[in-house]
Amino acid sequence: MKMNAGFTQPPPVQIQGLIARYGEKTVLEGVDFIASPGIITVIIGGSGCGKSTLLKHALGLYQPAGGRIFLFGRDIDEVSDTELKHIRMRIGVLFQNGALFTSMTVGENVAVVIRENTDLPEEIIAQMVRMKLSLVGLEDAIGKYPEELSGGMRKRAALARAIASDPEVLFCDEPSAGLDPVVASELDDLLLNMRSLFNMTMVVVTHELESIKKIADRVVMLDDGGIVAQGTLDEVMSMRDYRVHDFFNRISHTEEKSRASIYAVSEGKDA
Amino acid sequence: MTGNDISINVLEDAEPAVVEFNGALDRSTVPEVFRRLRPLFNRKTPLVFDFGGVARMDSSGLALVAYGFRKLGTGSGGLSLRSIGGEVEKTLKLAGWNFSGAQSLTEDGHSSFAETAGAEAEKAASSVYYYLYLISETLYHSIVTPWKGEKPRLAIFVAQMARLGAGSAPIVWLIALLVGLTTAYQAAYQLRQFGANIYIADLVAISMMTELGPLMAAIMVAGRSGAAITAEIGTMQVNEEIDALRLIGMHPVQYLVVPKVYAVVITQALLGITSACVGILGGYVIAVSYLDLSSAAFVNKAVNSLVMMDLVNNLSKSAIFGFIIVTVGSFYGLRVSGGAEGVGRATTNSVVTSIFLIIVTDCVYSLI
Repeated sequence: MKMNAGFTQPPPVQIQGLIARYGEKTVLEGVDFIASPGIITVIIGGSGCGKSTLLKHALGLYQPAGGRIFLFGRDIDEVSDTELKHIRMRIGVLFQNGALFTSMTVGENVAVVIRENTDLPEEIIAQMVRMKLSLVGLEDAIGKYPEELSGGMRKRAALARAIASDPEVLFCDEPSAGLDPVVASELDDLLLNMRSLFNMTMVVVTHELESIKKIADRVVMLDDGGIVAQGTLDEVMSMRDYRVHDFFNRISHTEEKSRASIYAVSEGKDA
Repeated sequence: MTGNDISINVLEDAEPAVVEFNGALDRSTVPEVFRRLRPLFNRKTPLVFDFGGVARMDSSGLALVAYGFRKLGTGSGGLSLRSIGGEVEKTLKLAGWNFSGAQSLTEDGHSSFAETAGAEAEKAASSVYYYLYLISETLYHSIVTPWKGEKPRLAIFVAQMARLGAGSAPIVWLIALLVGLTTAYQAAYQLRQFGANIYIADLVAISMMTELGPLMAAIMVAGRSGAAITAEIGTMQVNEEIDALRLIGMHPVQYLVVPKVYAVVITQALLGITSACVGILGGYVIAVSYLDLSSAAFVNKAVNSLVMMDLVNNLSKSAIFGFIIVTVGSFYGLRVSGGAEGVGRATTNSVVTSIFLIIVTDCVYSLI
C-alpha cells in the first residue's frame, strides 16, 4: 500500500461531519472521511446505506444538510464557481451507468472534456483522445455511439472520459455493476493499471467482494447512516461487529450463487 | 394457527377509552380482537391502543391498527397509539410508520388534511422558486455569458432550430389552415345574414395575426417540442449525464437550455407569423369560394385591417411563448427523479404546465 502523503499537502478528499438528507429521511449523519493520496479507498455497505450519496456529496453535486467537504484542501462551499470548476478538473468520475453523452460518439465524449477546459488545438485533442481510448483498449470504437457498445465497453469508454483531463483523483460509482465477472475483473485490472501509471487517488464505491479483494488498499464500511468500520480489508473483516459480518456473509453468499448459476449455464444446466 | 393468546382490557371509563393488549397480536388472535373492538370502532369516539403488553405483532395486527385509523382518524381526536416498543415498533416500521414511545400517527407518520395542504403548498412554492431561479440562470447565460468570452455553440443552436422549430412547421401550418378555414366558415354564416361578407377579411386577419396564429403555434410546439425537451433532459438526468456535464465544467443550463431558448424563441416567432398567414389563407379560401368575394377585395381589406402593432404583437407574443415552452420543458426535465416512469410523468406535467402558462400569458397580453 502506498502512502505518499506529505505533511504540507492536504488530503485530496476530506469530509467532516457530513449530514445528508433526502426530504425528511436522513441518509448520512456526521460522517468523517478522508481519501489518502495514491491509494484506493473502497466504500462498501448494503443497498441504500448512502455510498453513492457520500460520493455525490464529495463531488459537490448535492448540497449537504450539514458538515464540510474539502477537495485538495479547499472547502467547496466557500470557493467561487470558477475555482470549483478548476478543482473539478483535477477529478475524474466513472458513473454507475457510464453516463456517456448518447448524442456524441465515444471519441467526442472524451474530447468534450478536454475541449471545454483547455485551449488546446483540435489536432492535439484528437491525439489525446486516441491515447486515452488506447489505454482502455477502445481505440477502434472512437467513431461509435454509446448505444453501439456492450456494457463493458461503455464502462471502459466512460473510464477513458473520466481520465481525459489527467485527474489526480478518480471516483468510481459501482464500476462493476451490471458486468459479468470476467469483464468486471478486466475493469478492476484497468483501475489498478491507472493507479500505478498515474499514481491516482481513487475512491471506489462497490459491493462486489471480488473487486474489493482485488483493488482495495483501504476499506470504509457504511451502515446506519455512518461509518461502522475502516481499515485494510483484513482488518475490517476481522472486526467483531455483527453488521460487518452480516454484510460480508451476504455478499459472499450472493457471489457464490451468481458463480454457480454462471457455471450451470456454461455446463448447459438449468440455472 | 400459531397458538398464541391475547387478553384485552378495555378501559371505557377513561377519557379517551383505552384498549390494553396483552399477548400476541397476530393472525390467530386478531379475529377475536376485531370482533370485540368492532363496537368501539363503530362508536367513532377517540380511542387509545396501549401496546405495552404486546410481545409480538404481525401484518394482521398492523391491519387492525390501519382499520382503526381509517374508521376513527388519527391523533387525539381519533385513534392514537402508546407504549410502542420492541416487536410492535419493528412491525410498524415495516409499514413505513416511524413510531417511538407514545407518539401519535399524526405526529410522526400519516398527515392531517392541514399538514397535507401545507406540504403541497410548500412544494408548489418551491417549484415556483426553482422555476424562477432557472429563468434567471437562463437569462444570465443567454445574455451575459456570451460577452464573457464563452465559446458560442452555433452547431448545437442550428441543430436545435431544425429539430425543435422547423420540424414543427408542417403540423403547425396544417392546424393554422384548418383554424383559419373554420373561423371563416363560422363567421361567414353570421356575416352573410347582414350582408357584411367583406368584413370576413378583417375578422380572419386580425384574429389570426394577433391571437390564433401565435396561440395555436405555441400549443402545438408545446405538445411536440416541449415534451421532447423534457424527455431529452429528463433521460440525461436519469442517466447521470447532467452530473457528468457539471463535473466536466459544462453548466447544464448553458449547454442544454440556452441553445434551445435561442432556437425556439426565433423559430416560434417565425412560426407565429407564418401560421397567421396560413390561417388567413384558410379564411381567403372560404371567402372566395363560399361568400363569392373577389381575391383583390379580400386581400385589400385584410391588409388594410392590420397595423404594424399587430405584427409586433404577434412576434413578441410568439417569442415569449417560445421562452415559456423551453424553460418549462427544461425545468421538468432537470427535476426528473424515479427512472423511466419519472421521465413520463415529467413529460406530461411539462406539456400541461406549458399550455396553461401560454394561455395565462395570452390573457395577460390581451389585457395590457
